[in-house]
Amino acid sequence: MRLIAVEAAGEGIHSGKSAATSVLGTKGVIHGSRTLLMQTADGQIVEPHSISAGLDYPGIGPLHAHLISSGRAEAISITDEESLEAALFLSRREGIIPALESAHALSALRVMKYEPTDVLVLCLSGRGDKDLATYMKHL
Amino acid sequence: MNRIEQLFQRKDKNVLNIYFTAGYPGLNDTEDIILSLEKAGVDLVEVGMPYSDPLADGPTIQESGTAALENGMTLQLLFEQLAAVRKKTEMPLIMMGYFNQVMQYGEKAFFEKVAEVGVDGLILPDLPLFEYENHYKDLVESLGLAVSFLITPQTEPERIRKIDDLTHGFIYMVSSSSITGAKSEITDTQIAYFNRINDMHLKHKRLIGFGISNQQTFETACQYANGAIIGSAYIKALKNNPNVAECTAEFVKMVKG
Amino acid sequence: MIAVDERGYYGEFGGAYIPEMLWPNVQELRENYLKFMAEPDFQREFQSLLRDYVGRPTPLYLAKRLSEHFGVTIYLKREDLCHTGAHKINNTVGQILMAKRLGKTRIIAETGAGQHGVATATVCALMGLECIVYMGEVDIERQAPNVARMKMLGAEVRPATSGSQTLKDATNEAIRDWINNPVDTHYIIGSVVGPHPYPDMVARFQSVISEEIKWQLEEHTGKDYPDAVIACGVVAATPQELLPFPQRYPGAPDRGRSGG
Repeated sequence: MRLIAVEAAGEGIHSGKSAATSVLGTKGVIHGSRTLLMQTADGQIVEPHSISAGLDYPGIGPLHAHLISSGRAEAISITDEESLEAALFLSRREGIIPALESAHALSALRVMKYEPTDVLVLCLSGRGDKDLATYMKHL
Repeated sequence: MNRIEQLFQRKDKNVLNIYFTAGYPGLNDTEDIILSLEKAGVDLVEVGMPYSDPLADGPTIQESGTAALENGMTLQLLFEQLAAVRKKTEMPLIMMGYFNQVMQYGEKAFFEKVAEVGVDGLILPDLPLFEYENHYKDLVESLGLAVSFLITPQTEPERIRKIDDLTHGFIYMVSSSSITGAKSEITDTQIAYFNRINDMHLKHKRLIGFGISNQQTFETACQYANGAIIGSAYIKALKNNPNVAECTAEFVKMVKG
Repeated sequence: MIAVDERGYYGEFGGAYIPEMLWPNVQELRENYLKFMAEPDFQREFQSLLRDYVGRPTPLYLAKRLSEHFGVTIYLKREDLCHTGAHKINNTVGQILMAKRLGKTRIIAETGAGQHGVATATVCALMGLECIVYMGEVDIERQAPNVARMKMLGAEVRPATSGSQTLKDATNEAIRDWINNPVDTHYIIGSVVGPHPYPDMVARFQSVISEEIKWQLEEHTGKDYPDAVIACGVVAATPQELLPFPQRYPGAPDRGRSGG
């Protein structure tokens, strides 16, 4: 079974406005644990960016750092724009308005590889009521 | 024996340790600050390595760190500045920073560089005792560096003994459960804690830090320990008067009375 | 489940890099969390709140039109249908029971999107505990509905004004609050981050999601493992719902697949 961890690429992984820790992160300490985080060569933690407030963080937890760096989990980075499209798509395709965070996971369906016979489970972590103002701005 | 241990051999009362954030107020003030502190009669200087996310520090030190980073301070530059200062003074120097900074420099390279530039001690508040003991202690001791660990009113006696065993130099007694710069008076609860620690008869000298800001709090702290550490209050003074020599002389005079 | 070792490490990651001022609080939690979680009383209370208050199990929904579009079978695990609208409440229910058993009277939390803040404010209202939520100034603005919900629930929302004024800064402020209040306060961290034992504790509380997926998927399809699980984020912390899954790691045969 594959584990797909979806993270926020903000305005693009290398745009300077991103929270794609699996790509941009290096080993260090943040909030009390040794993990992967976005930082300068001098060990200063970098300010992240994501349209999703819940993903707008410069690190990942140690368990995820372990799963990703050992190759057990695959990381996929999704931009602000892609997550907005995915949110609109799910809303109109299934009648479910997802949270921006969950919309990142949805958008990964476009990018990831799978066999037509596969069964995928996607965790729809939250609903989108809190993000309606953001959605309306981009509609 | 390094300069910190020498200091405590010849002086065990009213030791004044002052903290400043390197790169603040000006990028190149490090030398001026250290020499001014020495001239004013300070015994020990703690050089803060500015950090983006200083969890154990309050807003004053965090803001000075942010400003220092904006000024362009880096560890590389700080080491250069300290190596130059060391040619001009025998003042005991301690570097204070967060473990992530050490990790990015490379732990071994960092400790060796600290010793090479003539710094005597280290305070790394988020370096766990366990990690220190198992990974770094031998190297750090072989380099002659004195690492100070913190104790707080909540630290259990057994753990205080362990910290006393691992410490070189002095024990950093956090005066109350707080971040730096949070309180302005010393309470009866704190004094009970100071007395409790006194009664433990630890091997190492103790300096009280956090909440020490003026003559009154300094003198009180000195009654219950070998001296005290001042950080936020000095940073505030530098903020109000960035003329380092003048500000430092006035500030230390205010504290020592 | 991928187990954490006794020092709090997953491989080379984890541990507890905290200032001494936090040590007693973290140590108290570390010594007690597994013990409390194993108590039948705790489990009874936790399970009944998950069922009757949170609304679990949440459905595993076969998204037909989504599947059709992508040409593959897609199930959605409907955590959006949890009380308060996100999976965050699974963890806050668990941690509030933990806090009560530790005798804590004051709860603090950090929040990014506000979902964890709302979930914390909710369980504090449920248990009658004081609640303070730290939130970046920028997030307060972009997640206004959740700020209103927290206030409605009786929580105090304190803005974090440093740095980029987002989740990282809110977390810094919450940690500082905990340093300043070392006796009566429990810090409910919302993600699998922070010093040990937080990542492990949060993961254990959230593993209810994956336990449900297993039996629900078996009901739907006859196989108990999907070919892939997709979850957002690292911070929104959903991938920990995978926790009971990777037990065959590394490299063991995938029984779900061969048997399905």
